[in-house]
Amino acid sequence: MSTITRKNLIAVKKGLFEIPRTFRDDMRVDAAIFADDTLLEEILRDRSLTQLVNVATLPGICYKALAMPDAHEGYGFPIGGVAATDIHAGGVISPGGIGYDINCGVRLLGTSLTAADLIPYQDRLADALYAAVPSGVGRGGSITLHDGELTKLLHHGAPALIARGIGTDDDILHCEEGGALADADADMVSDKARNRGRDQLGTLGSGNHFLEVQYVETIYDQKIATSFGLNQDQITTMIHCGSRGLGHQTCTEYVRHMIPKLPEWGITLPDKELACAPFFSPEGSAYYKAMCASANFAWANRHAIGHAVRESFKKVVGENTSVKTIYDISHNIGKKEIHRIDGKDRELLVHRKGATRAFPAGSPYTGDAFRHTGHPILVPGTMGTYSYVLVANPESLSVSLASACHGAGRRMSRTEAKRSTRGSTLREHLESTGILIRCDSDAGLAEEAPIAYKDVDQVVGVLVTTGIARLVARLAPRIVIKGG
Amino acid sequence: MKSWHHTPHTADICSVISGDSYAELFESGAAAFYDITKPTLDRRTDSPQTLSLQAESAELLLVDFLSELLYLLEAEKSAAIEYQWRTCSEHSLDVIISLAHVSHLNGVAIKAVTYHDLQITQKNNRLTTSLIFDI
Repeated sequence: MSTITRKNLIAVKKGLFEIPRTFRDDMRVDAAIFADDTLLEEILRDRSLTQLVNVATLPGICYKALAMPDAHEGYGFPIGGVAATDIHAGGVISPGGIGYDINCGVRLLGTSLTAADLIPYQDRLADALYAAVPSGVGRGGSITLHDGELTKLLHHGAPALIARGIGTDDDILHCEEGGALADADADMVSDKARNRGRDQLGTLGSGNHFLEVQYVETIYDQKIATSFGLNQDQITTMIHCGSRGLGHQTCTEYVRHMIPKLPEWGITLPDKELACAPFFSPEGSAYYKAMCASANFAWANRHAIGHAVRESFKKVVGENTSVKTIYDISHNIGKKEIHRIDGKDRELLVHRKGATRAFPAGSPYTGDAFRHTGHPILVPGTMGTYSYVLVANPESLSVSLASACHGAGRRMSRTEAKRSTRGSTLREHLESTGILIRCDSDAGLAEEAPIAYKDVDQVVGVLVTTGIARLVARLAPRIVIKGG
Repeated sequence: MKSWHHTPHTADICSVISGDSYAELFESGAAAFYDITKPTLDRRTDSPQTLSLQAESAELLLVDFLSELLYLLEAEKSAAIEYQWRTCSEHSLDVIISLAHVSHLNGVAIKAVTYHDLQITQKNNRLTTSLIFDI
């Protein structure tokens, strides 16, 4: 398979490169990469772009195969990959293009506290959050679901928890899709998947998942920030996690089920991990419904964690402390959306794997709370750097299929990160800058060191340069809770 | 002879596994899997688990086998400690797995075993493949 170098790329405009479909015979569309020169050099170091070219071969793919500025090598799709297939023209759905961690995403909570208010409570709050939100490998949660409850949750998502006294209606209003996809069908989720997720509601998991208490360090757009509920110096909390074992097992089973069927559908793929099914085939339809149900589990998971965070703030700081959801956004999901392609409105299945949606003001997809602003785009950085809140420009619709990056994006393997940084040294360094760390594994901490990631300032800079989005606020970490 | 080692991958963990037979190759995959998750083993479970799997190719069979181990680890909190192979070929396997309860995991959680770059090759009677674990 051809290696991709800088010579194979065409610079379209500042921040945007393309690999024309003539690069490889099996490409059905061009591949586009949002990056500046520095980020592009990093992206070219691994196999991200070979994977992106592979994505461009998917049946029914339209517009372009897209790589966001935080792109890096994954499996099948690159992380930071976006692909839209025309479901009414033989377009496929690819479980690997959504990822094993279905509806992995980020929830941002805003509090009534300022950074100065937090200081006397910071240490106790860190301990309380670490105790209230289980993190790390194999740690289950405090919410046990019997079969009927789990089924209800798979069908109805986060709103199903309100009746149990977990979370508020306001949380739901500030969540992508109101925390539930209507096409979910719990019957399409296997018993094995249920068993893997049954005791994991309200848990973070390990790897790059985290809970961070942050403060609003800079406001770039006062009007939009105020509308989102963000103020200068305000304490916020960011939660990053997904559908846990339930989603992982669901993806595993459907990829496995689709691989042997590919010849029957006349589909040839350069990588088995891109396994897919025509959207309206029984297999494609079953996966879509199972994916929606798993996404609902993920929203319920972040909703439950958000509730635990709220309770922890109240317990440590005081009952009057307000903790509200600013927004919850998915970055591993497949959504049915109508986009204008070649002058025609077409219903597409937009795969975003390590990419968020980015709908501007006036779009029907923003939800009522954000109709006049566009919904917040949440881009977490690393435990030692800034995170960003952005909002989409109308250009996002024509430039990036209303998509944006999902984080800083890894630039270094975990082994290399551990070679470069000692967990204990990193912990000491961060604590010397006022960032409290709660993580029971120094190795796990080193793997997620800031040095292992691209420069998030540069990454969001590309969104701005290319007109996809504009900056609203920048958040700086104060407390970091991580699984090992 | 069973063997495995991990190689760098930007986001996940890539393991290269080898064996003189399919059974050895699969046990090498299991050893790599447990090296990543690092379970602390408790007492043996009361009864072993019999696993009978069939697949269209050895690659699919390998992922099926490791996915079963992942399920046992996450849902049943148990890990394989011995394998008694009744059959193991390119398209099917039948194995009795002795298990131990897992009290704690000290490594990294594996979300799934992927098919990316998975191609079992045979050279000098040795089976080898790389394997990417999504973490």
